[in-house]
Amino acid sequence: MESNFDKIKKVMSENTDNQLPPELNWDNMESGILEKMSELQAVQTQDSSGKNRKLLIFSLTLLALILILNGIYFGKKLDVLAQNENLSIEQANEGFKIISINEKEEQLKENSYKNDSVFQITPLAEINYFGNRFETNTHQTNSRPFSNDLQKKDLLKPKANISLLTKRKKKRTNESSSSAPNEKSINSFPSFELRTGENLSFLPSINFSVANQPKQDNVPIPPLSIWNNSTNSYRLSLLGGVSFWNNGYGNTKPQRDEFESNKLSYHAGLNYIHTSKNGFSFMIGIQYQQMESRFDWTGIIPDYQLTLTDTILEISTDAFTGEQTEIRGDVNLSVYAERKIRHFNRTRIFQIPFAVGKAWISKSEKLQLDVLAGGSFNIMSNNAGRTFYQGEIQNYNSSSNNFLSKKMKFNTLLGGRLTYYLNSNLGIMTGFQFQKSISNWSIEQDIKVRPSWVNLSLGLAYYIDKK
Amino acid sequence: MIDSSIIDQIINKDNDAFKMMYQKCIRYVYSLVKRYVKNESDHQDVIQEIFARVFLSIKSFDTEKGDFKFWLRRLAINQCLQLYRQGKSPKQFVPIENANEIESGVVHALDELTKIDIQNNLSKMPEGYRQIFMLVVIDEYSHKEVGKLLNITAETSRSQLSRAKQWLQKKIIKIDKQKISFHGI
Repeated sequence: MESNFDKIKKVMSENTDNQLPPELNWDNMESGILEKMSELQAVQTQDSSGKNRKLLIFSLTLLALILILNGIYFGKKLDVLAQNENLSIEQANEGFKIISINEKEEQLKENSYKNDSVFQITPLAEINYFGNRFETNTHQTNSRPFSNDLQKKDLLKPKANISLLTKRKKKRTNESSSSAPNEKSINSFPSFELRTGENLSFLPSINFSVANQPKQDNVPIPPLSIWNNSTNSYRLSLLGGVSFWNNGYGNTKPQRDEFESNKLSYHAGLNYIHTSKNGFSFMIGIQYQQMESRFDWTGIIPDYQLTLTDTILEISTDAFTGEQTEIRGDVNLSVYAERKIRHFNRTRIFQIPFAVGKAWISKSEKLQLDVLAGGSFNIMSNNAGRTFYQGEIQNYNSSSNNFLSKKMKFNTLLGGRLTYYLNSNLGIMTGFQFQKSISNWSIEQDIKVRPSWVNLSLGLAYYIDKK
Repeated sequence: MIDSSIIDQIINKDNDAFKMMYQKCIRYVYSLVKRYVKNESDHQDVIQEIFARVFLSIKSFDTEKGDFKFWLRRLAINQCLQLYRQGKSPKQFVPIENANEIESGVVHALDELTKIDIQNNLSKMPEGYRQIFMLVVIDEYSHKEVGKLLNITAETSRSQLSRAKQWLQKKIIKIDKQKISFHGI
């Protein structure tokens, strides 16, 4: 038969003696060719701008990751400062109760004008500021006395607005051990030195106000290391679990869906969440999704051709000697056959999920609920398997398939997670996440393939910093 | 087919060289297009596209490294298959059930078949078979290359070719039987 195909090849490949139709003459074709050339050049320009867009998206993603890593690094640095500060405040707290720290000078002024009569400042509570805590102007304002009483008042918070102390590390830069109010010689009345000057607008925004109180042994110290709704926090979450997915074949059903059943799938991820002091969160991370399905196909082949090779065709017996001789050969049989194919398909996706949301914490400060909404990019995906498509069983993989696009996909994301804190830094977490592809996975016209999946996760949450 | 001086002239945007090349290559390109694109109304459009691409990308052709005819053939076939990839030409993969229709018996050689017989049979072949048959048997593409061109796996290409051959075999047997009965009269 091969020789027959060789003849076909010879006939077809040398078949250039066609009579050209008149519309293919140069005069009739020239304008069309030039038009096509200009169209192609325009498309090439668009392609290059598309590549630039992809490069831009990649650069932005990279930048976001760098910023996050940067945030994590500085978050840890601030945590060290916070520990030093906790120590000094606890030591100072023996003899008096710290009543308030206020950030905004203007707010202080406003309050003091309204409530001048309720200041409780004892002569012993000498108000000082530690100049080296300020970022700027310390040399200008260092050790200068108050110019008048009004300025003193401006820096003090009225009792009516006193709230329980929490700390604001953000405004502090370089707290050295020598400058901290932790000298034991201060005894029960540590002194705060207020460094200020004539020009209040140059002052940094941290102000202490204190009230003298008799020593109380059982004054509760607020648990500063526990996150609450008025602090910023930075968390890392490591999670993994099961996924339930819908292949989203849409109107390609029943061609493909008829033979494929979705199986329990898996996911794992690492997220970074920044929760601001008002409870709003921003999440970004990396996530791996593995979707699995099983392909079962059964076909009836009524006249399957089976060739039996080297089969005994005939046994002849010699009439005189009685010796038997086997005659062997190949036999073609037409049989009724049922063909069953089972194959496990797999889609693997690496994603960058990102979301914004809101966080709440229980009164016991043990449970935290996060609700998140956003999206995710499939930065890398790999499809491999077998399917029945357009009347044909087809194998496909990432480098070769005729129905799934290789372009970057975008998904919407909704999620929630509940965290139980084992201690102030570490918690165990359960999570829920729903994703639905916005991008069409199909490369064929009029066919939409938009998979969706639900992830149920278990994981660990670790606070890298709270402030 | 085309000497390097004409190619150089085309690179330098010489219109006369364009025309000369077109006139030298059009029969060959037309024969390729006829083989791969069934719909005659698409022929002119595809040929225009092919020559537009030839003119735009001829800079990338290295006369020392390859044969111009081979380069042109690849470009033309790729453009013909573009129609298929864009969905203008429907895929007609034939289900497995229908493909297993081998008739047992002796297959006669094609010696008696005329060129017209061959062309007619190939033109009647289902699109999915025909493309792969043409690519592998006539134009000597590997199954891996066919897989890349048609966005299918190499295994699918192999199985489609096997079925295409079976299909052709069946047709040839029919023709052969007709001829035998004719001579028998």
